[in-house]
Amino acid sequence: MTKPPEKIPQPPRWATFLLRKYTNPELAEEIEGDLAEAFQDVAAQKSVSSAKLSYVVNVLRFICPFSSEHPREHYPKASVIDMLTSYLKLSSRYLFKHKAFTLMNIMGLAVGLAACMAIFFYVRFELNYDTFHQHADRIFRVSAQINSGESEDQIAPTANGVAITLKEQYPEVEEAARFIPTMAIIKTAVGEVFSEGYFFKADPEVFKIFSYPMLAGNPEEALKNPHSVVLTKAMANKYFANIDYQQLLGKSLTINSQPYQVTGVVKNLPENSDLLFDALLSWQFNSADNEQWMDFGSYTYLLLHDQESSKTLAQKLSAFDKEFDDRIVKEWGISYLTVHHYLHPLTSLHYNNTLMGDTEHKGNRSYIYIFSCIAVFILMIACINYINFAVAQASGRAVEAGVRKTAGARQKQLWLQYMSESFIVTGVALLTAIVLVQLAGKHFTHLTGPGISSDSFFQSENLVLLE
Amino acid sequence: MKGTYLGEFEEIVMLSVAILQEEAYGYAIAKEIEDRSGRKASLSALHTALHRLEKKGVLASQLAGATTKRGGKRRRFFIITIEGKLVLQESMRLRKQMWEAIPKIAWNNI
Repeated sequence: MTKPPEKIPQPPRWATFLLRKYTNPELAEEIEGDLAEAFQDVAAQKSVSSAKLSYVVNVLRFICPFSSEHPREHYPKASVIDMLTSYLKLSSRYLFKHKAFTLMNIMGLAVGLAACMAIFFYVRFELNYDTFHQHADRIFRVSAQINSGESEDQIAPTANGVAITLKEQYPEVEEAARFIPTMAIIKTAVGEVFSEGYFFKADPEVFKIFSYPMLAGNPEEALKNPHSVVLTKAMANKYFANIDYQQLLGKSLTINSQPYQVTGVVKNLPENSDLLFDALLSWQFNSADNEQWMDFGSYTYLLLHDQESSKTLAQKLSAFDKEFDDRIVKEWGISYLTVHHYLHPLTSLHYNNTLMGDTEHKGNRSYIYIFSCIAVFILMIACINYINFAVAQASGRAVEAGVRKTAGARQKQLWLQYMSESFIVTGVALLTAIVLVQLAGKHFTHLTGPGISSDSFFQSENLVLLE
Repeated sequence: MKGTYLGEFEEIVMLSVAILQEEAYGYAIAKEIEDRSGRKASLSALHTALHRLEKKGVLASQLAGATTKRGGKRRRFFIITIEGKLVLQESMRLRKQMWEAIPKIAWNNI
């Protein structure tokens, strides 16, 4: 056996296939040979990739479209590239000749598309509340409904003890954690005093439930020790300007006259998070705290083992409610109160604004649907407008089509000609729309309230979606 | 052969075939043109020209000589026919004659 020959670069197979299929079989052999030779030369002199590119271009120059349909065609046909260039050239000439028409057409379409895109971004933003968490579909919040005989109140936070009890007694619960809103007065090293409204005391388990991306610090350890604080990037920059986040670990920050150690920095939360915090403080919940059943001060979140367990747990909660009511009777002697606990999926929290003491910035599902409908209508109107323009020009174009046919154009060629014109118009309109949305981004944010920041407007993923 | 005229590109192709002698096939001709004139000769344009010239009878061709570099494909070697030689000579004669007919004084002042 001889050694296998050294691997030499090969031209793309699909291009060779096209060449064989669409060139005169009598000439195919020599053409293929010449192209192969040219390919090897370019591959040796420049690079394999540029050789591949020029090979493909050469093949496209050789092949004639539709030649397989008319094998006995008398006249030679122009190559794909030549015809495409011609289509584009003729289309742009036509468009430039009718400037007013073109301009109105493009602007109409662009404004429609821009409105559509803006609404699309808004709707996407609203629909993706809290979806960035890895386990978003398994996270639930426990809320309470208090029935005092006279009134029924639904409140978002629950009693302190709920989280611990649920985790200990119900196997469906994988993790449980609490957020307790805290007023924080912060004194900096130079003596300035700030008050912060979005600081929360939290259990260490919050990092097991939620996927807050950490810039520095270990999420498993961050809130374990007393007097630890995890800051968001914005807060870190506010209180420790110009410092590397890694070096920030271990620095001290005076919160409510107590020294807290910075144990972590998380990325700023996406604006479409239901619970927006600026910092999390560790909190040694002692047994007295955990036995606290009448304070209703903790946002309680559960991570369940799977989505199914939310149903089984919801059924079991009535037993828990009974136990809860018994405690109130026993410890406080209040017998007219009944409390009912229920689960809310994390991703739907944003749309529920009927609860007392809930997080801010609630959205409304019906707005989302209405806006979506409006977007569709706007797009339809833009399209109808576009069609109107096309129809208005039709009579003139009929003459043009006639002349072209007389000159020997085929139906497919005419079709491609008009399609290329539409492509130019819609392409330019799309680009204009993107520019418009970008320009309008900031003002749009004023309209929608705290929502879409202009930079989240043009995340790469949004652009990809447009493609 | 009366009435056969060569276009500018066709003439360059013919001359390249003449220069390359035994080695005149598509890719070699393209390289020759590129080396001499510096302009890129597209292979498809070249093939079209070669086959048109063959139809006109100023070139003749033969398939031979497959190599591995060409993926085992044969090349089509072109040679100039007697008619081709006459046409080339006629074209050069015409040019020479016209060059000499340019009035020298006027020419030098351009």
